[in-house]
Amino acid sequence: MQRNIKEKVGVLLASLVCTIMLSPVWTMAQEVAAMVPASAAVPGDWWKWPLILLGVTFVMGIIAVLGGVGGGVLYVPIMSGFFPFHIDFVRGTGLLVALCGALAAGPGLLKANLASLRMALPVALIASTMAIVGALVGLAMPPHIVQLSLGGTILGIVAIMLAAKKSAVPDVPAADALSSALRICGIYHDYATKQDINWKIHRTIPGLMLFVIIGFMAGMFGLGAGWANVPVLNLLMGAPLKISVATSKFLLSITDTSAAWIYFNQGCIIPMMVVPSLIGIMLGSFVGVRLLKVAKPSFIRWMVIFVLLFSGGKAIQKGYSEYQKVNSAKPAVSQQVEQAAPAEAKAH
Amino acid sequence: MATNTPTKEASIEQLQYARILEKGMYAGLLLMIITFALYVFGIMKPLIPLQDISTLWATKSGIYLTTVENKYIPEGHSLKVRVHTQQDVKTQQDVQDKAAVDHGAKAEVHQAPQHVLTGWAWASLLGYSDFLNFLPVAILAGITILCYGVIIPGLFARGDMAMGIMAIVEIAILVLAASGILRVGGH
Repeated sequence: MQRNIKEKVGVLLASLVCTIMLSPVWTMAQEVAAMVPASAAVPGDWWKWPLILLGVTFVMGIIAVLGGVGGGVLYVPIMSGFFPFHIDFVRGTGLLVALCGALAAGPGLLKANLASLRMALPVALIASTMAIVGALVGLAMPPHIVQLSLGGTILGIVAIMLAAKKSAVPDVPAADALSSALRICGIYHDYATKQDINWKIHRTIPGLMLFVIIGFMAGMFGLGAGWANVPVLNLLMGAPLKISVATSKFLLSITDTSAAWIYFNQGCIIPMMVVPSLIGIMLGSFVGVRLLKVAKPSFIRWMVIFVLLFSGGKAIQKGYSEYQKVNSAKPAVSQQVEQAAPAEAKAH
Repeated sequence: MATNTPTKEASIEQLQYARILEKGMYAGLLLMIITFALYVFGIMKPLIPLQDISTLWATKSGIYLTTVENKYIPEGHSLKVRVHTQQDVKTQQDVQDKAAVDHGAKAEVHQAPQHVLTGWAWASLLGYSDFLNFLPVAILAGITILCYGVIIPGLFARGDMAMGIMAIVEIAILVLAASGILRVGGH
């Protein structure tokens, strides 16, 4: 009876969280907040921002755990789309959000031998190098291009989430030459089947090549990269799902570190944004883990897909409107130049 | 003696890495909470007044840096001296360009001056509560370098040359990223 009530409360809370996140009223409220000119901020009401960030990221943390996605992938599109923060600071903070999640989970996963250091070393080398390149390119690009590309990427992630299948223990007939030379293999105990699983990987070179793109995108958009790491490690390279998920999470602590330094060194970190966001996401994750027992996975998955679709669309819309602003400013400038030119010619 | 054959247990290097990562993560998070409390409760003075933050985070990072450099860094601070030096150089260049144009020559193309508040410049502002918060961020972002450094001797001792070399290269890449040498032009 008591358990029944707990379950009902859990489902109710999960639904409430989703309803708030997806509510048009919530969205409109954020739109209005975004539309208020920055200069109109009332001095003395600064304290509301850490509280708002804490609340929103707390909800985000719950959804991230329930939906099985990293915090960064929700944080960047939602914060850049619906809040008045510039995308430079959102990307810097998004990387730190993903980094802290990975740092918190990493030690436990390594100790349990679920995250494989041997598999992570070569992958991290490529991904972290490319994350630096991605961060430098992303910071040099005009914000509207970043917004548009971010929107496209988020919609791509939705497509991956809809299409990608998972394989608990993929069939790897034989390890390839490179993974054999690097001895990327292992044994882990699966408590569900009570079996020791002997694993190895194949297609190492194509897998590593894909991490060139994954690392670049992680650095460019500050998204973290768990959404891409897991399918590549699991479906392409043939690592068991649990090993892929754990290694991917650990991998973020290296990939995101390199990109985070670039944003940090470029002054894209504001403590008033970073600290409440990190605390909110972490507290939300704790609650999310508890709700996970009672929440319906398929409902949550669809909810995350919907939230991502919505924020991806919003990023594209925001990028497009900024593009129009830039374009409408150009003719005005050239008109002034044209008007000034004949006058100058007459004077000469 | 450790072997290279896979076992159910994590390798020595993996456990070493995990232990350092765990300690660094707890130290960083604890320090982050302490420094943020000093900042948000006004126990220590920030460089950028709290009420001004919400106007600054809506701007591009380049504008944010310019505003902080010109408006908030106090006169006499080593960073302010650099800001003034750059402004003097810029003024001199403008005068030279104007003179060149007046004489019918083309103005020289000058590289945009870099912001002084980039890279590790924050370290000289640790006396302000907002910049003190950068210390735990640096610890969290830097702990991975230490983790790699700790496992390298073990990898070479076991004859794991490929992994050892990869770990050294990774450290070089992370140190390069952390150094602040890599900058975005015209930002």
